[in-house]
Amino acid sequence: MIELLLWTQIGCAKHKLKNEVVPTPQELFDTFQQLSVKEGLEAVELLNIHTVGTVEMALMPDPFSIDSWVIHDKGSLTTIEISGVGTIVEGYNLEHAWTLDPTSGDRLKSEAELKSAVKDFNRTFVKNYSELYEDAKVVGLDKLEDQEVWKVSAVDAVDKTPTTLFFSKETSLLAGEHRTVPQGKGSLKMKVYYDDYTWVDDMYMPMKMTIKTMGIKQLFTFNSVTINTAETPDIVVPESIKVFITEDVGDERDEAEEAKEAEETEEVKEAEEADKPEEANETDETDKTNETDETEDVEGTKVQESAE
Amino acid sequence: MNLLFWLACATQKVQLETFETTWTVINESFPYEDFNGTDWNAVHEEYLPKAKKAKTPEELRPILNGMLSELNVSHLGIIPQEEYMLLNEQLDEASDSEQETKSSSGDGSAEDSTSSTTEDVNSPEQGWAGLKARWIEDQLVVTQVDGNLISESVQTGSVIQKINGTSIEEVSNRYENDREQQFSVGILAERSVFGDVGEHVVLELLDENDQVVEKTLPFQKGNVITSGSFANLPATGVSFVHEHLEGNIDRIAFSSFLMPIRSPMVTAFEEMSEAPPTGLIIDLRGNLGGLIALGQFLSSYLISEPDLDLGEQISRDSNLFLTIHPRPSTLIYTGPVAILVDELSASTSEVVAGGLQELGRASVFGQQTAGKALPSGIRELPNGDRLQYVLFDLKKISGGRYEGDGVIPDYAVQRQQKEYVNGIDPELAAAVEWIESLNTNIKIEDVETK
Repeated sequence: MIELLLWTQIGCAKHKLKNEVVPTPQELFDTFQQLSVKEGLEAVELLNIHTVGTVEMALMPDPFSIDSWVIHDKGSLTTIEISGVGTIVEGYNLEHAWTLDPTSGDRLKSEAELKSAVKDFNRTFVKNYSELYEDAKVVGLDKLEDQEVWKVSAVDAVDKTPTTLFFSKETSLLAGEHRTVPQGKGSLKMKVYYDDYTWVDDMYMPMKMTIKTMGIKQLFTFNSVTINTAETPDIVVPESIKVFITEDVGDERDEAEEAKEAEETEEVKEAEEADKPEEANETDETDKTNETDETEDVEGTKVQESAE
Repeated sequence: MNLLFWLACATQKVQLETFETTWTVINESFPYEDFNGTDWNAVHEEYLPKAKKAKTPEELRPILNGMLSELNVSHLGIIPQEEYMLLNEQLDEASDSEQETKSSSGDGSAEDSTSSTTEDVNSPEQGWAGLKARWIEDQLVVTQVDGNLISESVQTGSVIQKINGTSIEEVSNRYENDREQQFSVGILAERSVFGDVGEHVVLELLDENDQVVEKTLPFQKGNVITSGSFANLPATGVSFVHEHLEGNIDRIAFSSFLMPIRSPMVTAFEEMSEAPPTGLIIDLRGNLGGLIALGQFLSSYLISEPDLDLGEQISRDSNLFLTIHPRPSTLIYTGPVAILVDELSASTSEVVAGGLQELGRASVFGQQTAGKALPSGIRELPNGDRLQYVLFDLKKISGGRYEGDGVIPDYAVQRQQKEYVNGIDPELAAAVEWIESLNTNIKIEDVETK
């Protein structure tokens, strides 16, 4: 009799889950994004966002202050003040990305770090969540800190790393993410939880964000969020970074010159085997490759490509 | 009577909660899921009956420390609440007299912004008694004396028998393992000679005539900078020295990798870029570590090639490379580099020495390092005590670990008391000789190579 009762209960539970209408990932993305904007997604075009807040972190007695600008036609600039350490600045001006770091030193970002800065910037202005993820699948219902959530597994479209998204079943808002974030040659897994969604002008945004990674919990509290401010700051490459850009360009120039010299040597060898009139033409060509303008064009293209 | 019984039960319950919290924190955060081959669940079952009997934090502490010692790694332990209360009092006093610190200026570079954080004006001013001592040939030998600070007649080579009344012999007898003995006695000596300015240390010394003499040495500011209470650490005295030795060799020495060393380090490398020495000695003896990022920063003045790493930081959910981001080429020192280490060089010191050694950028001289290189965190437990727990492990680029073995010097230097009596610093002498040999192509003699 007891077995029968248990079987019935389990059977009912299964039946209930079966009857649950499982949304598609796109439906979850769309619902959340429509909810995020008062008059619907199409009504507001995000041009810039300015966030001011604090970060409380285990191990640190005082909270950090954080001030962040993301401006669609200028780039992004985040300033974090850490007591006992100094000011950390993360900048991106649509061409170069940099860090002013009082511990490990100021540096120009390149390769994976630059890619990550570009990705974070683009993410702010994305209109459709499906652009951010590939192979999204709704895994089912789950529990996230006492709330029922739809669990979506996906792959980050840029990094190709696994990501899990949690959308509240009750509110349809994004409640959390488990991400793998590339960090230079390594990576770290990060659990991010969003809370205290509030209307900021026409946008519905989380005022609290908790990040758990490397055994450390960080609580971000945003005291002020403003969007589409008329006047925005200019995002200028700091002097301490300019020297790295000059050296970077210099290195590329060296590489370009070395490549051309090697090419030249090869051409000279070929020319030696060729007849005299052709040799004269080769010389003209060699002179042309030494022109500074052309070298600079090559460098400019390289820098632009890496920034994109 | 009933109330007392209830209180006793409640206190016992808190101790049990503290036990469970401690076990759980380690269970969830220890960098390796195999717990270094320890059956962590079995450890729980073994220590639970003992924890159930503990009625006070004092009774619980040895049980928790016993449980944590099963993992056989450094940076794990229980810090009594009383020690933290003392720290909080210091912090409260500091915040009462808080002063506005200068904010950044100029182009906003970190070089500007850190100038306000190099010295903490609110914490009690720290000083040094002017000497260093190490466990050499089964005795605590004075290895370094700062003549500017010590007016008393303390000589290098003297043997310390007691520090503030504590017998060194008794302390040393607590350790069976030679390496642990060397580390623990050395740490006791190192910590005893730093303190608040105005305080002092009392040493009982055996002089060159085997006569016992007592010396009271005040802590003096000298070149000590007071570091602020960063990340719950109490105020610390930090020293940075940049000196020019004979033969156009420069030596930089600093006691930890905390923020106050950054500014003098920048100045030192700027000076070296203007007048490059024939060799550089980085003296990390007695340097117990600090911020790993400052180790990367130091290395960024020695390496011009991008994307090289000092090591790898591993946790359950991350693997981060300790990448060196080279400074502008005009600031990079390209000459030979010798790094001095000893049994008290720990944590970030080991990562810097080991990393630059593996990259072939520096030769390491001295003693095997402490092998204590696990970044840790501290969290409050239900009974008010604090748990220090491991957050990451640090791996060498070659794959080995810094924890345990530490760094084996390229040139292991034999230390003898008589050399210090004669005013010789054998580790420094070996490094100087090596740099001179590079410049003159003379082979090093009297240096035991590994």
